[in-house]
Amino acid sequence: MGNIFANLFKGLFGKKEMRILMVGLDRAGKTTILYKLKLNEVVETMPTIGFNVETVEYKNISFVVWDVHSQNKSRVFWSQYCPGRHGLIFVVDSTDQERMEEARQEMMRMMTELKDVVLLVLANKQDLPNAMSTAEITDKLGLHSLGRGQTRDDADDDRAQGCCPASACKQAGPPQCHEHS
Amino acid sequence: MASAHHGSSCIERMPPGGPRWASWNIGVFICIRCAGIHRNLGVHISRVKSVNLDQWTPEQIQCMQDMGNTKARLLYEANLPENFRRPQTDQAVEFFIRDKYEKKKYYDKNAIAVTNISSSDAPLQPLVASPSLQAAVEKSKLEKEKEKKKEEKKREKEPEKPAKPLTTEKSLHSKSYKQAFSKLRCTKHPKTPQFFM
Repeated sequence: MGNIFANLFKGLFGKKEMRILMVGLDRAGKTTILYKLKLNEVVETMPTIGFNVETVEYKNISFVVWDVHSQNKSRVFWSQYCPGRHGLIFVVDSTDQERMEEARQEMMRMMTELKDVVLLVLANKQDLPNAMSTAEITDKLGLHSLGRGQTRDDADDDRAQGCCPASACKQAGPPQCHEHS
Repeated sequence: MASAHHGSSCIERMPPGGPRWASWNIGVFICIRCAGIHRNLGVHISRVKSVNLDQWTPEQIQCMQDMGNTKARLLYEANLPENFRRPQTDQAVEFFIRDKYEKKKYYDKNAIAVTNISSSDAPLQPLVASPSLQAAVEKSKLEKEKEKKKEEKKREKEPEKPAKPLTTEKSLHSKSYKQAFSKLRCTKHPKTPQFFM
């Protein structure tokens, strides 16, 4: 009897937990995004070795976000992190045109390895003058081939692919991805 | 990697322990904290890679071989004041790095000629730690050797055409040719950043 009340109480006032894995090429801004979400401030970062895990509260959902290291050799282990993940955030550096193809390959590999997750692409560093637009990035990453949905607004199927503009340093880009998730 | 050859520590603040990171387009070895600062400069100025956690292409290794910490000091810190004390706090190091690579405050263009000559006298041979790097370096070395052999063959053929010059002249000619070739290789390398030209 007590159990039923406990469950009911939890359902009404308790928090739903979502586990999110955040990956992307090195220098994309994953750690900065994570701490912008957590602390709402821009922190000085160093290249991540290993991973950072933080719990971020939003409305009544608590997101456990895993930000993992991204040097070439360690990318094969990405899919081993964050057991029971619900979503995948792939962060790209909008200014790094040369490595967009590399980013596409990594993203496609992750999507074939992880069959059951929702993907969100964050086009970071949109505040910089030479940043590519989200439409351009959607095109270069081949998001059309993964499923329907080009932008955050019309991505609403099960494995919705969205390309969301963000700037970890300047604007409130990241909260939008909360809404999306 | 090449730390033993190019100066055994980070170019910016020289902490204990070898540097595990590098900015391949500038061609310097740095520590992880400076790697964080270098990443903030943007990809148009500095491209940071881990020495042992990243895979390196032959071009990137070539850039590191062409520059290295010792040569980079001559180039980027040529106009450093004599009584300059290297910054130690993170913020001070960031200002120093921005002055050095973004504003090029201490940069000396005349240093290029000096460093080119020194590199032609003693070619750089990096000590390699990680296996993938080693393989890539060997590859680039093989390519280099092939190029050299081709050049030698050409040189052997060339003197036969004119009316046999004196031996002393011949050696002089080949020496100057060698120097010119090495200069060409250093200055006109396709992957060398523009500000070296």
